[in-house]
Amino acid sequence: MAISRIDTTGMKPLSFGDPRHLEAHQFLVDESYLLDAQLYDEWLANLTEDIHYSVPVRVTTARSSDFDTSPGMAHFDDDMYSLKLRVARFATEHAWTEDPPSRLRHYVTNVRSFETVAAEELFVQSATLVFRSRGDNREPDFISATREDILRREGGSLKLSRRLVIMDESVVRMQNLAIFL
Amino acid sequence: MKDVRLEHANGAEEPVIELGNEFAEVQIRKIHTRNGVRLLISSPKSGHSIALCPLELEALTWQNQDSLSLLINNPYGPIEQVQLNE
Amino acid sequence: MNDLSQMLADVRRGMIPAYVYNDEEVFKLEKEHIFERSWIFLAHESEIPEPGDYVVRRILEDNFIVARDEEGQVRVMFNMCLHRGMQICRAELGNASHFRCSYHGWSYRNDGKLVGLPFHNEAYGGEDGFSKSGQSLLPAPAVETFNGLIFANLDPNAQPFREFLGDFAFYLDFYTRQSGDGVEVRGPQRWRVKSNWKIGAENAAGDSYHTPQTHRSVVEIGLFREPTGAKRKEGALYWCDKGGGTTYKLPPGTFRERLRYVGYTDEMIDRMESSWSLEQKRLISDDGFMISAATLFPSFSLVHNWPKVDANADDDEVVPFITMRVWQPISATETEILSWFIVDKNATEEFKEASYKGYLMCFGSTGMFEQDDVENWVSITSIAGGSMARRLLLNSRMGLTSADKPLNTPLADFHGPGLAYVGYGEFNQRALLKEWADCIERPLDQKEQLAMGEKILASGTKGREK
Repeated sequence: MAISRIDTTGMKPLSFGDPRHLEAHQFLVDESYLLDAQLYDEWLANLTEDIHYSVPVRVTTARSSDFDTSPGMAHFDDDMYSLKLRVARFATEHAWTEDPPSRLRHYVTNVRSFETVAAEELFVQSATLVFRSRGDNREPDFISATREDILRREGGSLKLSRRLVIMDESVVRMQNLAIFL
Repeated sequence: MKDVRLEHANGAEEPVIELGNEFAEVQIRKIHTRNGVRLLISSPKSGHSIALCPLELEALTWQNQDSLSLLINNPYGPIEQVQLNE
Repeated sequence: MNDLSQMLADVRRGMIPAYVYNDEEVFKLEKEHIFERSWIFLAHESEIPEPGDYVVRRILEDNFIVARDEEGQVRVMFNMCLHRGMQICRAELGNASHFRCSYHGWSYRNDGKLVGLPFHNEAYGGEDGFSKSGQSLLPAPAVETFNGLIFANLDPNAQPFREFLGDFAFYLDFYTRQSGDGVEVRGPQRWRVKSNWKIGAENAAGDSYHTPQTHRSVVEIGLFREPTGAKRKEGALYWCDKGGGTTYKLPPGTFRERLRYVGYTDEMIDRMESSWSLEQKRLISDDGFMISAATLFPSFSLVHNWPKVDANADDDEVVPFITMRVWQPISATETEILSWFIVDKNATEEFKEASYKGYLMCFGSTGMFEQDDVENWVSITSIAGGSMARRLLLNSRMGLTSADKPLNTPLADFHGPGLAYVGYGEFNQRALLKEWADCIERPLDQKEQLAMGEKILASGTKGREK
């Protein structure tokens, strides 16, 4: 089930002026606004039916090791069914962890797009810094991560068909991941 | 310290296997002499390398944890003539 | 902290001073009296299956290498070089026959034995200056395994683990011995929450009362049909020696039918049939109870649930999953949760994947159950730090009359060991905190110091030579 990372060493990203890159970048920025506002039904509409959304558990290993994620374990390893359930839960009146809701900010930067062998698909890398504040006086939490996405053109617009989030911390310093990255 | 015994052996065509853990990194490659083969083990961090013949390699398979520990006892040098701690 | 003896007396009668969930002095007592001399879970053997495999784990601030040595034996070694105290393994996991310190290059075999000491003759004059003979990384004072679960104790005079575990082993088997070959684990997920460690331990031990309220959303979306108020109160709560847990009452049926009801496949049930004792099987077949959450004192908890995992399945097609976790205290107000997924080693790959998916949806850092739990626990901890909380005794007497008698009589024909009650009650939370109070009250022993590489001298200075 695990998604493997794509090694972009030696691959040439699309120029920042390339319309395909501009469209991918706009997709990520628009998505950030949806995630910040927790407009999750609209967010789901931007995913393909075969979405694979994965956030492996990051571990500290030696530089020469050929892995840096926990064997077989993730935080998220979701398909459309489980993502829809998570979203449906937030819509009940009893999802206490997000009611009152967190104040969220998804900063997205370092965006690079690459052509793939499939004409309708782009591989897009981005960095994200997520700020999450809960309550009036608690310290806010941050998550820093890189994202490796595949955006697929469906019915004229781009949709997210795969997201691999590589977190920059091994121990997550957040009370839960009741948010999307 | 290079293993100069086989400096003219040729192995450029052979695939290199890299192995590493938290404590060491090595590269392993088969090399060819005019009349035979050896296994070149090199440690890029320390610059050491050694080319082992099949008999030496087979001898490694006869060793136990204690005799392998003896090899590690004196880092970057050959085995010291001391008793292995027991 | 208010008066210690008053605090312990209040806890023992089920009136919990709210500040025990946020108090530096209480935490200091917990560190010395509980965590430095209790059996703490570190890892499962399936995390280190082959010789040389290791993981790094902690008890409080003490960092340990948990390794399988070349002989196949599990070793738990203090992760500190005997020379200058450098942390030897800095990765969280790996495989090595020897560990080599990055500071001065001292090398240790993966059973802990010191084998390499650069320039031993030149720098120390050999064995005379530093006797490396027989030296090894400090082993954890006591280590035992049960069903592959590796526990360690910082107290060399600790009660032997099996004695400590007692008959709670009966219940542990349901989670960790569904077949003769045991279980395999994935993880842990690790995350830090601003919650006192006791709250999660108490919750898993016996809080069936919170489920219908806290986890209502999970029933509403059709993920897990069981935790309604009506169903939850039919379950039995049991406490046995140093641990206790909650159960669900299953619909009528045989051993097999009831295990099928929670989603086990026939081939898995066959293995359970041959690995569990008659009494263990009768807990399911005769009593009709299925284990759910549990805690072993002080900080090791387990959960067994059976959600609907497959989008296209009927509503009664569920898949069971098991998780275990450690509530590792960081401070009075912060806990690192380490959460593993557990599955029968002999299960099919298809079952393992479905069960893993059920785990991710329900528990752990992203679990839809656990998300709401932690939100509550963070709030409790935060508000327990003020002066008003020092005046408040929280009522943890559910299930007791004012004369300390149980509202319901214990189950007479319950096939598990210990005492069991049906209905809501805070029996287990009280039992857990009574254990906590007894531990805090028990005086500390003197700790022995170990001198490295020093010969035994006439003056009696103690070296470690054998």
